Amino acid sequence: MNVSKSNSEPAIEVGVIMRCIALTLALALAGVTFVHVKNQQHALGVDTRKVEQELRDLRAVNQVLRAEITTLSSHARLSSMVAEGNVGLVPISGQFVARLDPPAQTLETGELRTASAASAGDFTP
Amino acid sequence: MSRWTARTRVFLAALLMAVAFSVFSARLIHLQIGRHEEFAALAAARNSIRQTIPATRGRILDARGEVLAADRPTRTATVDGSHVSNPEALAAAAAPFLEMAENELAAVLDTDRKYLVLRRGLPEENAIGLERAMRANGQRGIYFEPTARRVYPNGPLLGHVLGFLNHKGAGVQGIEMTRDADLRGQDGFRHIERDRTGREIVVYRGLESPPKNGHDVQLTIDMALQAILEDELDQAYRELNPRSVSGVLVRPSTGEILAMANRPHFDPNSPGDNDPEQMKNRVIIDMVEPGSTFKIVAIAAALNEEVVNPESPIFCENGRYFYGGRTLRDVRGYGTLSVHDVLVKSSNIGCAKLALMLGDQRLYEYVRRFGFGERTAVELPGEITGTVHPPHRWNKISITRIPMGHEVTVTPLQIAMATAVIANGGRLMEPQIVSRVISEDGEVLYRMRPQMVRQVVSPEVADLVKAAMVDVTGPRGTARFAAVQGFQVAGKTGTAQRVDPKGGYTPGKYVVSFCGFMPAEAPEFVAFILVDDATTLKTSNYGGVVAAPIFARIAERAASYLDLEPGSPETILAGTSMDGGRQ
Repeated sequence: MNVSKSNSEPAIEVGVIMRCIALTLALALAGVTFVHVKNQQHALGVDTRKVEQELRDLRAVNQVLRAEITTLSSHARLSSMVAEGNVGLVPISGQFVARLDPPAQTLETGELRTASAASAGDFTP
Repeated sequence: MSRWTARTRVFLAALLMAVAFSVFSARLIHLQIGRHEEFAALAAARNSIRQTIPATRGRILDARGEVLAADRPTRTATVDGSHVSNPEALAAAAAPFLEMAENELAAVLDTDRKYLVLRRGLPEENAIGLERAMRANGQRGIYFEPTARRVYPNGPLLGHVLGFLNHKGAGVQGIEMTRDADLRGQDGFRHIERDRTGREIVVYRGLESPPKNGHDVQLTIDMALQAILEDELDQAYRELNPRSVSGVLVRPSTGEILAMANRPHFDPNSPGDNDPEQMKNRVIIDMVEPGSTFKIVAIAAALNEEVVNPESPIFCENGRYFYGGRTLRDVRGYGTLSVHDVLVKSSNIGCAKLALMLGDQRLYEYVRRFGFGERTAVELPGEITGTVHPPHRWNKISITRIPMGHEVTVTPLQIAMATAVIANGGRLMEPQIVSRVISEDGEVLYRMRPQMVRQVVSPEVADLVKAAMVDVTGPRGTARFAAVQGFQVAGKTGTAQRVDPKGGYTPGKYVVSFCGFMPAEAPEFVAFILVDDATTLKTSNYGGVVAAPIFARIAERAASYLDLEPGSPETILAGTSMDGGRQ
């Protein structure tokens, strides 16, 4: 007969089982969370690398442009543009020069010159 | 009752599982903790690298902040053959950006080597374009290292002063060399790990030290004055076809070098395309006999020692003076000249007699006090001392030859600084070419302070010599072509035969010069021009005819740029007569 056998078997300790399951689930959750955070970290690392790369590229392009601006605004470049006629120079006539001291005398031609007349033809109107 | 109850069976099963997991755990602990250092080192050796973060080299600026030298970023393209899956496809995408032939590139990409340089100095825009193309196509294998190319925006202007860099990025010649430590900066580094595909794992980034970029070096050079000087030297080089022509402008009160140039010259953007003769900064490394510009030394010395005064009469032997077995000649036969006029007329005999009154030792002392025979200590490499022999090595006639600038060799910069003594109340200043050193964040780390070397002659004597030098550029002097309308110009011409390296002098070859300052009453600049072996008529090859007009043009343009107020009465400019230019 099975009745006495079933009466002597221990009852299922639901509480213990539940605690074990809960503990196992907690550990599993911790593990999964850890993996998720690690993955996020790596993903952030990839984004960081991309942003750093873009920043490096921007800075480099900026430096290239600054170097080009320097070249285009250099003395040599401006002088060659003047020589080619791409940039015109307008001589400043005496009436636009304000001096605290008495002005220098004008020449017979009406030009105001502070140095010799030898290079009078040098200025390009 | 059986020994093997359910509890016992469960217990045994649990025990077995515990033992099994314990074995695994122990192994795990042993590997992860016990042998951690070993495996970490192994992983680091395979995947971890020390990545250099290059520092940006500092700029070189002129006195007004114009950029004279700067870095332009470039990249070095490399290939890791193990990451290239399809060399032909990668070559098709990369060839236009790398400016290489596709089939040639495909052959190079088809390699097992983990590191191979494809192209150096790749423009930044090409590298960025290629990176984007590879990303779009999902391709790997080509990587870029940041580098830089040094750019000199003004081309050959100021090339001798700036210098250039060698292939390792170190300064060679000029300021690039003398201030290399300030300009270079310090590279940073970062320890990184890469994954199997070669990409950095940012999470494992280790120790990092940012780069310290180089400092900016600001010079005393004013590019506007430099351009004026270079323009006039260009014209002189074209018209006179000389062996060389050199010029330097100095502010006498502080010793600041405002401009310095030579012809022939070179472009520091491509130094390899030039020969060594073009790269010589002759202002500091050429040794020349100065000729009559040296006469200011003997005259200033005689006045300072009160051996004579400006009106003291000196008999100039009517142009022929026999001394020590040799005849010394003047260009013209002068009778009696005052000391003042000895300089105005540039009488060799007059100067020789002044030197004889001074004596060997005192003459030698003043030559050295004016800075000859020693380096000026300018911050440029390669400067030479020149040659000034002590009296015990002189021959019988040296005392009559040295005052007229023979038997001594000097550099153009030494003459300019000696002339600046007269312009600066008798004070010899140390030439300065570096004005400031500025850190990346704008902090001034070094600021130039004018350095007086010594008081050579008294201010009163300097004024007396200056007065004579003003008359040199007047109607009675030898440098009428140096006159500038509206300004008092003080100066001295020099004409010397060219020294033959084998000994003696080369017949028919002359080194002519002019050194002057303006305005004489309050000098803003000293300019020295030297022309070596100009192609011109023998009767015209004099300092007053060849070099003085160059000075006049430079001085006139400089006065206009510096907005100098004319203060002199109407100056009678020299005509085309050659008489006023001799000596």
